[in-house]
Amino acid sequence: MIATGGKLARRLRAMLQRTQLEHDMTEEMRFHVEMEARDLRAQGFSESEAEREARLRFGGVERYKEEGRDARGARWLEDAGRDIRYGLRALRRSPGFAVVAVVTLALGIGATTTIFSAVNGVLMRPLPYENPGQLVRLLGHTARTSFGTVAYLDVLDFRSQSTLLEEAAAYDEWTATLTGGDAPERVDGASVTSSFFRVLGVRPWLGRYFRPEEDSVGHDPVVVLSHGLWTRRFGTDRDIVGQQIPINGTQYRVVGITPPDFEDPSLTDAGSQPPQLWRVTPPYFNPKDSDRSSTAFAAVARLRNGVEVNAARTELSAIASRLALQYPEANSGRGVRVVTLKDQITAPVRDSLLLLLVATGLLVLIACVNIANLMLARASGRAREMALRTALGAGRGRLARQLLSESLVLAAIGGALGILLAYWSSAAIVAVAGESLARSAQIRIDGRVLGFALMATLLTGLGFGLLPAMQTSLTNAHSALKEGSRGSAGRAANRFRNTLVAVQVAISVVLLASAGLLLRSLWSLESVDPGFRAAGVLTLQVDPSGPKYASDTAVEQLYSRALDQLSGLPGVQSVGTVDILPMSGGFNGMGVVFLDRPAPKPAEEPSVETRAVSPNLFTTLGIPLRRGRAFSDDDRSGAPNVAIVDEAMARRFWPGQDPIGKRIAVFNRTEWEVVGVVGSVRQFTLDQSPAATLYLPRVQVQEFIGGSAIIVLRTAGNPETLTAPARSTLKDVAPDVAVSSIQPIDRVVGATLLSQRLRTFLLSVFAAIAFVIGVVGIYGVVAYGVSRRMAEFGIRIALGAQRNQIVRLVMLQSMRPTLAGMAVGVVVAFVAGRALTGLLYGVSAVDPVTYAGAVLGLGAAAAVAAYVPARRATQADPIVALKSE
Amino acid sequence: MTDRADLLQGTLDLLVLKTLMLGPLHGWGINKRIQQLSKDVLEVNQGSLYPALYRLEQRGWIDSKWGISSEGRRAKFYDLTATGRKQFGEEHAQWRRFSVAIEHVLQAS
Repeated sequence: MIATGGKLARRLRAMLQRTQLEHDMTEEMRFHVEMEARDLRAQGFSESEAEREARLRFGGVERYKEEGRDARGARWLEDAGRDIRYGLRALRRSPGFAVVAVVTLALGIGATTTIFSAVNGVLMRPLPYENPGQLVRLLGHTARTSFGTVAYLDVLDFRSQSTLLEEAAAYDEWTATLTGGDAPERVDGASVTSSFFRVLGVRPWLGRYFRPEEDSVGHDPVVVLSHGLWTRRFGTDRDIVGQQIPINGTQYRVVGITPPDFEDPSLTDAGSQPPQLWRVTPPYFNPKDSDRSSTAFAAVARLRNGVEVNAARTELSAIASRLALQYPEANSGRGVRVVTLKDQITAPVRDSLLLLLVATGLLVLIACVNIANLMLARASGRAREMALRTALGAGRGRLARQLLSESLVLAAIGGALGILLAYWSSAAIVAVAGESLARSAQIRIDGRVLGFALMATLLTGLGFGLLPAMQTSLTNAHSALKEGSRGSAGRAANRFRNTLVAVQVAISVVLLASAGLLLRSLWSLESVDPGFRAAGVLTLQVDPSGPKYASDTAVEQLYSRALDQLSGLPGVQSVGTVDILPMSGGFNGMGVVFLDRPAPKPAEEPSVETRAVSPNLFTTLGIPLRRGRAFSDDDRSGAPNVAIVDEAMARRFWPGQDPIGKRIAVFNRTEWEVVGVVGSVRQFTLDQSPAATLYLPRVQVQEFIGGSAIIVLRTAGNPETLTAPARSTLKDVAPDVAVSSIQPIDRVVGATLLSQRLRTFLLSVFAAIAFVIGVVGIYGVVAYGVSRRMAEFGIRIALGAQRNQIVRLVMLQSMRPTLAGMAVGVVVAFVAGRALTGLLYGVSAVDPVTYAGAVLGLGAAAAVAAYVPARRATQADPIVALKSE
Repeated sequence: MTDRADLLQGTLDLLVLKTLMLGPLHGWGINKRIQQLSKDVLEVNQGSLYPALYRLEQRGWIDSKWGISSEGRRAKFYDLTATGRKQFGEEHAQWRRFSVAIEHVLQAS
């Protein structure tokens, strides 16, 4: 190490002294030649002869200087500097090539770096908790459902009966309306057990987290705020800790603030905002009385140090079976899966990210091959220059290195631009993807991403530089000089370049076909009928809270007044409410009992999605009534309980029968009579077939649901024009009610497609770039080949060849590598398509239309790319050709 | 840098060291003296002398400084260092062994 350091220091010093040494060397050698000439004159040579003879005897000054520099050991660094200057000069001489190469590289490296920054942020960065590898999710499931939720008491039992869990926590969504400020504000929160922050192992930014005694009934209501909420709503007031703030009409004491970089482990379904405040499961909630069959909680746990997930899996399955025996009513048939928290969080996006990473890898590869091909063309064009340099005494290694440094200079410029591009595009991806991409806040260009980009740059530079460098260093100076103006594009070199074209084409086919599959999948997804008419619908989230809305009557009155006022707004055709908007990420599965059948155990009750709606909801959303009647204002509380089922529910429970008049029990065994059947709605995402859904009049279930609802407005025009009037109307009706998430329902639906759209868009962009690079590559190779063979074509024409014969000749020869590349590409794409299967909807992984489209599109473009230079071949002038030979 | 025991190069190093044993000289002088001492039999490729000089200097066997030649011109003079003197002994001994060995081979019938 020290020795090397010394050597390096000497080299550096030598470099600094370089000018002096160069000067010395020049002067010393000139002195030598002059002395020799003087001597020769003394021997009788004439003035001019003496000088000439002295110079001859001395030999090549430059060569000896070079050797002299070499002997001095400063050569390595000096050469590097010179090579870079030389590389820049050479690139400046052929700006077209340089621009194409730099742009290609910048796109390739930019795309790869962008996707890698996402892979790094989402998949590679450890979760921001203590010992994150020990954190697991406990996912409950039954034979029919796999929502992953468990009962509160299950979590306590898992915790107390397991020897492998250090701690476990239960977690539920909580909608909090903060009052007390200028305007009430709805904030997404979570209800947790006091162990929640202990499980994650994070420290509070201020104050404390929850204490075990706060789990018990009747505890003082306490809440922890996120750093973001604390900053936004409380202006980072440190004194807020210890004070009470009104939430949903109850005074909660703020006990702590989370650190700014705290990441809620997104235990509930994606799509909702991450929670901004946490409370201990509410004070009136008595775990001992809680319903074992109500599985509303997500569970997260920490394994003891060194415990493997598999061991915990075995143990917890055993505990779940024991619970099933102990509480057969509620727990029979219920199991638990153990998955690491990280896998659970990243699973929805892992495949997409890895697919995109592979795609960008291919993009860099195609960029590399393309530039290598361009450089090969240039290299053979420069064979004479290189041969001349060799003859003048430049070492072959030196020449190869010059070429290599040219490509490294190219790579460095392209890489630098690519990294800039990545800064911009990864920020863009985060902005677009938002909540649809788990952990997107972690995406940034950090040290590892930069290292990756530098590595990619270096590798590509070496990759496309080595081939031409090798070829040049092998070029025989003698034959290159002799072959004259035609250079030395030998048969082997041509074959090699054709192979490179075939590789480009193959990669393009793979990317085009994959992008095509995703596009077709997205199209078929977007053309799925959601079961309602989305155009012209505006939605508003309304969250009445506080003592004023504690009674069901107050809530009822609020909505009846609000709907009344809103329906009077100009342009509004109809208004309705629903407690969970389709495709908003919410769900409410309820066990249902059929009164004309024997009652099953609670654990085996079939579950249906239940929605509380106003009479006009079906008209407003455009959900068609199939049989019976819709709800009316007469279906009020106190009137007979009525229900409407959707077609999926009718098909599932009354196949071949008329559901109208059937009686069912839901909500604590209250009885309902089915009065109508409506069309099915995709409640979750477009690719999930409609869930059996039960609609109940809001006023008849008011006592079982909260005050919150989504108001839905239909207009003939653009729904966003209703935003301001609707908001001000609601402000007039109830100034103390939080109104949020005002958006057209299109956007709600769009949000469920966001990740598909994003990955399809990105893959399509990558495929388009690959396509362009591939076609440019074909054009470059054919054009170069034609320019080399102009003389030949001239002679052919002189001998009577028809122009179209020449065109056919060039086209046939140039299409050979293209066809070979296509064949290989299709085979690889078939294999790649199989890997895509999980990401596809409504299109087969071996969809012939997609593959045919990719091949034909590329083939047509390749034909055009070859035709342009082929036309030029027919303009070969026989006279010029004959003269130049 | 290069430890190539190339015959010519090795020989040139030895000759340079030998001429410098007699006192400091500039490059052209070294060349001239080699010619004289070899009675014009050995003609060093003049330019190649300089890389050899820089190599020896890099190894620390010779030293250089600018001075004025006998013709009144500014010239760079080379001189042996202490290491260089010792090295000359070694190189000389090695050369002897080498030439004797070659001679043996050539004498054998």
